Amino acid sequence: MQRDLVERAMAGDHDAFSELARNAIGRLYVVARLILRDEGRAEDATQEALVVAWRRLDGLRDPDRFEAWLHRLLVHACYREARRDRRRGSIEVRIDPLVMPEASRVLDTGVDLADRDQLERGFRRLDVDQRTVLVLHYYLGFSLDDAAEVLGIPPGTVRSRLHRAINAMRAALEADARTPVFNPGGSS
Amino acid sequence: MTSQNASPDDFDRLMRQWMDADARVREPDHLFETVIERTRRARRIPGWLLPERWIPMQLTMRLQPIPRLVPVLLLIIALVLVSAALVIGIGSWKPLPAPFGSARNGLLAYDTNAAIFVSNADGTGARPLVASVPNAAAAAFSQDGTKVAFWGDGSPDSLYVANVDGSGVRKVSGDLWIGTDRPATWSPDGRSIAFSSESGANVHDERIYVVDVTSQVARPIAITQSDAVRAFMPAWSPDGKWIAFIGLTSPTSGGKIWIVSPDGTESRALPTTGAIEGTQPQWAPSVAPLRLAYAQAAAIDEQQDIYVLDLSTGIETAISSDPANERWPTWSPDGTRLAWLVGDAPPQLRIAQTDRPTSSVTLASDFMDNPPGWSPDGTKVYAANQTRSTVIVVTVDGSAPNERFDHDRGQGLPAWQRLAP
Repeated sequence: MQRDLVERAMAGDHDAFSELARNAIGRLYVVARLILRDEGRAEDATQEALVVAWRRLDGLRDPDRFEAWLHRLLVHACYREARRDRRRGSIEVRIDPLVMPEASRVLDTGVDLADRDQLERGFRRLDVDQRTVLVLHYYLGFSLDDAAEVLGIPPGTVRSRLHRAINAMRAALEADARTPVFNPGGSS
Repeated sequence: MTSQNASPDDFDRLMRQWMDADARVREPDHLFETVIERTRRARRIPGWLLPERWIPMQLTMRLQPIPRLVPVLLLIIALVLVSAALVIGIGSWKPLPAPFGSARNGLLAYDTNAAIFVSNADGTGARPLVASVPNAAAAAFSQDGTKVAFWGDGSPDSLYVANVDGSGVRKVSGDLWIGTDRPATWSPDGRSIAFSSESGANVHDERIYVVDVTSQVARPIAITQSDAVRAFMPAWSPDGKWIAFIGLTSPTSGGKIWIVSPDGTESRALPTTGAIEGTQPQWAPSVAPLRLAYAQAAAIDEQQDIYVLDLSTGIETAISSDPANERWPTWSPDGTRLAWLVGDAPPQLRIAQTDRPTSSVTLASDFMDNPPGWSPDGTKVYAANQTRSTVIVVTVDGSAPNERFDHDRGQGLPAWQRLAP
């Protein structure tokens, strides 16, 4: 079914591409949001990845690899967005957690609120390469080979990047734990 | 359990649970409609223009076992074709020096005391190129290295052309107001020159002109389909079909790169993503694909980074994004490397392979502070210092110390003559 849609889209059938986009857009947005930690930029990256996918669909030689190809385009779009963020100097200094729906802030996830905020702050301290490899590994559950395919780097490089990212995340959490909380009101 | 002292297994579980929780959101309602609207309007790139159609990549093609007979047959066909080409072409092949690619180093040209001087590559043998043109500045060698164009007279300016031995000086265009000290740009065949000129002193309304060197007829290039109120710093593409230039939509806005056909019948803004200031677009010395290097910032007056745009795909690639200001990229003669300046205290020279930009090397530039260029043989990078009173030459592999040729202050940038290899 998916292959049929991809082949029709490759032949220029925009309705088929729309169907593919409808199926993928939620997941792409979530992945971009996890990597970029910003809803607006996640929107931009998702849009960009899908528009590039449509424009460059003729470059896909194996329709069965559409999903991996789409993830690769998304990761590239996220890198571009992150680069713009760096130039604006905004993303690395923002520490407000993403606004979550109230329902998801309850403790039905096994992660309590304090840990969640701590993880959020630690994750934001990582660079986009490290955030990306963590999202591919922990959220998408990609194997080293799959992640290597998406990132366009050898599996050994993915392994070492993942290792460094985990260490960096742990270090960020430890640094966060050592940082006294600034309390302007003077009371808890 | 707290996140900072979790065991490895706990840490893994915590990360998964946190990301799963964080992913419990829906995309905005309008996102899908926006994508569909944009893709409906977007033009598909033909497959034959996409490199992934040609270059085997794990993602885009599944490698198939190739029968052993096929390479042999391909080799035979290739040999037959080469033989046929040799037989057909041997009578018509003209041993002209290649207009692009590595060449031998010729003369260095610079201006000082309102005159163009040339010297040997080691700075010796300095002599005036032309003595009869007042206020001569900004020499530009033709691609084949046989002629040199330069500005002269002053307020208004004129464009002159001479042979490299100083003979055959002639004015090819006059009554110009050159709002920039950048040199004019030769067409690859050496028959025409493009430049920008204002309509009066400091009017800031530059337009692109093309002058035929033989007939000395200059004509303005109408920039259709664009709203650039200033058009300057032209650069002629190596295939001769386009002139790239910087266009500003208001006199003080950040620039975009436009391309225009030399006859002015076609023009368009390129899909660059930032603001471009004071940097002439740099064409890679190749035609397949056409690529441009440039420095741009997220917004005007912000730090610039180095980018390359592939015109066949419209894809912009960041070559470098150093926190320090980066500017003036220039292609090596073989089109594999870029050199540019980074930072201000003092500027450093950075060189990178464009296919492996992260493996850049940074060299002491000896206070280069103007757009650099490569020696024709690709072994050195040269540029003027801030006051344009010294030409600094850096050997890129570090095998020789930097060289400095001092002279009295000049107006234009130095240039290096290409000689047939």
